[in-house]
Amino acid sequence: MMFLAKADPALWERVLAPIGGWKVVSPYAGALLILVGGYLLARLVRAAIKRTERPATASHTLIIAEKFSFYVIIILSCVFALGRVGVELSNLLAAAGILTVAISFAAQTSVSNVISGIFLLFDRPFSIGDTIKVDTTVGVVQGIGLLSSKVRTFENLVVRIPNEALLKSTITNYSLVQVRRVEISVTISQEADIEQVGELLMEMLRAHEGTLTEPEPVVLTDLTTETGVILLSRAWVLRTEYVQRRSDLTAAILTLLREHKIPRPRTYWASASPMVMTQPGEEDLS
Amino acid sequence: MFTWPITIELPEPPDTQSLVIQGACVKFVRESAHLLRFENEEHSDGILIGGSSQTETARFVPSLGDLPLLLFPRQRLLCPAEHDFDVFLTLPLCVLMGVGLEVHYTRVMEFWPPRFSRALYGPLESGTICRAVHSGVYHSLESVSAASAMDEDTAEVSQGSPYLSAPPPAILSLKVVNRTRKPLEVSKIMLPLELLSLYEHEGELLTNKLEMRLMGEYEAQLTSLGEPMPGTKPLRDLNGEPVIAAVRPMLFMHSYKQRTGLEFGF
Repeated sequence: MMFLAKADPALWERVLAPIGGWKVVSPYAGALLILVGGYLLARLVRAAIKRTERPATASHTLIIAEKFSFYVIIILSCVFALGRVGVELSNLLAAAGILTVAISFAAQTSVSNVISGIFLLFDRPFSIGDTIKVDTTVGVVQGIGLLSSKVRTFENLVVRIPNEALLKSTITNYSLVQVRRVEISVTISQEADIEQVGELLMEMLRAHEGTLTEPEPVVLTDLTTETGVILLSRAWVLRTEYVQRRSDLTAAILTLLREHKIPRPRTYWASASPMVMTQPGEEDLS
Repeated sequence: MFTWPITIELPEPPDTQSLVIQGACVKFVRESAHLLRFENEEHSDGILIGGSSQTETARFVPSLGDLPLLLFPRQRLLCPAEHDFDVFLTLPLCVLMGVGLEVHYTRVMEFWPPRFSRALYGPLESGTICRAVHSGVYHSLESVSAASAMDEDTAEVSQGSPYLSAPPPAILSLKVVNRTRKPLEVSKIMLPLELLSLYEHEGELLTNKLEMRLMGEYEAQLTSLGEPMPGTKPLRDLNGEPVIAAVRPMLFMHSYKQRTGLEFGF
């Protein structure tokens, strides 16, 4: 660079003469400088936003800010660079319209994903770190990109879901609430004393370590079928303990029914939907 | 007579220290000058507690825990129109343990009463997780003491302090005020920890006195009225600093009934 700067100006003129001289080249050189400067500035701003302390709730907002600032600076640099080489903004807009139509046809899926990604970023059905269910995929959101989002499943697999699919799917977010309801349906024989079983279940649910005192647990008689009577046991637990508590409560109910020799139906006995906890077996529990 | 804090010298290895805390047996073994091993039924292999060479003593102080309390009086309280009355309620306490020397104690663990349950106060989507406390309602301090003496089984305590093995619950003195023209019932009391501090008086633990002003059918205002009785001393934390409650009043729903999800059908 130093060598170039110290070079004889006349020499430059001679070198650039075939392409019209420095006067012709300078706008393009300026435009190039603007583009490089804009790109560097965009990266600098993105890095600065990335470095900001991000509590879990703010990370989503920061990602929006990061992407938004990066692309705005890049677009503005392009506009200034084109202006520098004499391209009229109005012509550019007209061209952009035509280009958009062309891109829409050529890269329909990608454009759809980008637009869906923008909607997702602003709509915020979930944030990074949330546990979500999309169709059959359950996992923790690791990143929200412009084209796709990444979800890490509990089997430790990373699933890439196109944003368009996310926008079209039913998303269940498990991280928005503090408490969840465990429901365990217990099927007992029609000969069993329903009232007694209900009281036993209530007592057990109230005394269980993990269930919340309020909202209160409840036991309801749901259906009488050919196989027996279905009792619904509902208790509230902390979201973070849901899986363990559901397992504990199911085991506790089975133990309780065995201990009190509650007559069981022919086909099934107790299930925390969708798991069937026992296999068909004998009539008598003892 | 002051019973808290309870300070216990940790023995030099190979000796061990066995204690009964909240009705459960625990054992402390000094592995080295810097390492203490804690064993109980749950952790029979032990938990190693790191410390400095000055970790010579363990200190225990009672605490209300770190969750707000949602207090359910065992008998519902009905306050006639334009009346007020005083009642006493009990709050089970946890025991905080710190290790150190003289005034430099570091909190290491907490021991909870055997029965510990939680409750959600507020809407399902945005409520506050609280410690649920079912409390008897008493008409005087003496009746609380008499009931506590009957309830607590301290006879089986063989080692350590009876206060440590079965810490008596703290007694909350509550003034219920109804200035409305309707009799109002109280089914629960939401007690944020910022509003409560512990005091000791003749071996009994008390909280600051509270006034619960019923503002209407659902809403109440809770205000701290300061020390429970003249001459009581605020309980100190592990390092001997007094813990005093804030006096800012707080509004809450005293008849708030959380739905159980039945409305969502089957």
